[in-house]
Amino acid sequence: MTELLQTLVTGVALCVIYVMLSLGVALVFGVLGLVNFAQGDFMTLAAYVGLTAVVSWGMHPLVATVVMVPVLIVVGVIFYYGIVLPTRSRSNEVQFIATFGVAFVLQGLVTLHWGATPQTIERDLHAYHVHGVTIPQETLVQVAFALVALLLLWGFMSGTKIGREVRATAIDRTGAELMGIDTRRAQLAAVLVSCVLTAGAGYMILASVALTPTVGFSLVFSAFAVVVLAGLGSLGGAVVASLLLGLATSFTGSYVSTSATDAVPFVVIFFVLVLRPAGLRGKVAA
Amino acid sequence: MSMSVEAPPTHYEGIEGPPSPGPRFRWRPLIWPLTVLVLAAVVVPAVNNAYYEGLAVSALILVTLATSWNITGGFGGQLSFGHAAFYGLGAYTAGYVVTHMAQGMAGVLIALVCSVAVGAASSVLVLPGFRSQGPYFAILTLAVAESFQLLGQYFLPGRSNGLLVRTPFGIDDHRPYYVALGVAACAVAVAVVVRRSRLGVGLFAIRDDLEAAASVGVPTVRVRATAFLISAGVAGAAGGVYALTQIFIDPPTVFDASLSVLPVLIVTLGGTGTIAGPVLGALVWAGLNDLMSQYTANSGYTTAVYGLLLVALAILLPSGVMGLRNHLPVDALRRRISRRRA
Repeated sequence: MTELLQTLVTGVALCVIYVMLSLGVALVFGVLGLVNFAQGDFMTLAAYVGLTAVVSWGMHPLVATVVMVPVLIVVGVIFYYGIVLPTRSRSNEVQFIATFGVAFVLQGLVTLHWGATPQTIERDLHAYHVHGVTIPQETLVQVAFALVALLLLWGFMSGTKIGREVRATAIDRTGAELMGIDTRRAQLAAVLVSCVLTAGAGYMILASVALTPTVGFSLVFSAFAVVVLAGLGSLGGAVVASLLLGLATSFTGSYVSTSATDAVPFVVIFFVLVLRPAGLRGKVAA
Repeated sequence: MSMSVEAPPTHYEGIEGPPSPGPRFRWRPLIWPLTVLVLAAVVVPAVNNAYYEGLAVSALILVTLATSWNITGGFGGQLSFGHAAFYGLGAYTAGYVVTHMAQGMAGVLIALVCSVAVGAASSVLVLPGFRSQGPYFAILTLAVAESFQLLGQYFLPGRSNGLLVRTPFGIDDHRPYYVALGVAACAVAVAVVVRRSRLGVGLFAIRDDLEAAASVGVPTVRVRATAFLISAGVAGAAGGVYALTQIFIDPPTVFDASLSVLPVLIVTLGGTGTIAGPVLGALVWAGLNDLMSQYTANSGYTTAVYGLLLVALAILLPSGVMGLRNHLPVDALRRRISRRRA
């Protein structure tokens, strides 16, 4: 029983990371129609910036998000105006390649500036022990962080004018244009919001694992798995799917073997797409 | 507030359609490729430089892989990010056959044939994904390839320790080069045949608009499946050649994700939908790779430069190098500038 609960705890810890990253991917796809391979490397950059903030300036990782968010916002602006707009009339594969290029550029820059050897910060190892189950304090902090982020996101999407414009653009771009919405601005907003979320993911990564330049690149596959499970474009589905994937990975790690956990996102993707070609909840986006 | 509605994204950047039909076999376009082939077969071994010959072998393997991807991706518009699966299986097949089952040059030949067969057979893995479209399909193929990399460490001979390969080739042996050249030439020949066949016409139709193609009677599932069969077989051959030039292979090497992504980049660089595109792209890439490794050992530089190259490619040269025949990228920039002024 305790092992089951412990596995659940680990699953939730994984889930929150997946949520932050996959929401970014889902948002960009829903509003821009672009599968952004570079989202993982946005996260990597944020995590490394946080690393510097923690190690060199003595910030607490959570506080370091204040530094990470502006950096990613700048990256997002450059990404939108420099990459997305110039390739907007190109085919899907060319756009995909462009995002790949961005991913590689960021990876290269990170390697150049911080080096390729794995780096960590001092971990906060406080944990609560409840009925034989160890709940790390850091996990609780991250869950709270994710809940706050989700709440803010929901408020943004449903409460603010620009948020509703973003949703309208995601539903039907031409229709939104006809209603007088500046879809360029809505798309930019979507990119920036996704960058903020990704910065949050960067904080979680920084606090949880050793950083290498490819950490984001590997995780983005899990984000894709989540988004595929949820149906590209569905944000609520992404949250549910993150939980499912986090639990699936955690249970695989406990009951099968830890090295098999890497395969979980891919197996999930394969079976979901075979059974439901458009994801569990998504509509087939054009 | 801009009210401009963007033009709908073009469906593909392929700049060539299917060749016009006709009863006679057109030899003229083949003069150049055949000349290059003969030159390659004669010049490189004559130079007798082991380093460059090894580089040439790698380039030829890349040509084979890129050509195989082009059959489904360039002709058919089916973006597959999982060709590493076929490549890796082909590599393992050839490696296993030549080490444990057949010896000598005959063994090499048998190994290659087997790698093609296994590669083609493994294309069935993609079949369930045909109901998915566009990005879903691409992600599915990516998942298949990555699964192989992870599962191969449990189920393939040698497990995670890898497989030792014993080939009849020695040092200063030109035979690996000839094998690589032969396989690459066959791959290009297959691509030419496919392109000129009914299968090719069907593929181009599917690339342009799948539903329209289906509505005029193109058997889309059969065409896609056949194309994948052929493409996977050729990719398996590429992997087979790779294994035959190595003494050791293991899952992380032959199922590496970069082997899935590289053909996409190369073919886009060279020009999708063409025959020369993948060849050109592969040669350029191999050359660039070599150049970069000579100038800097820091992988950060190389990765960043590759990335910049890809971005520049996507923005300036989406039709690839072959697209330069039709229009220069300068025209596209000029058009964009004048549009903004208007």
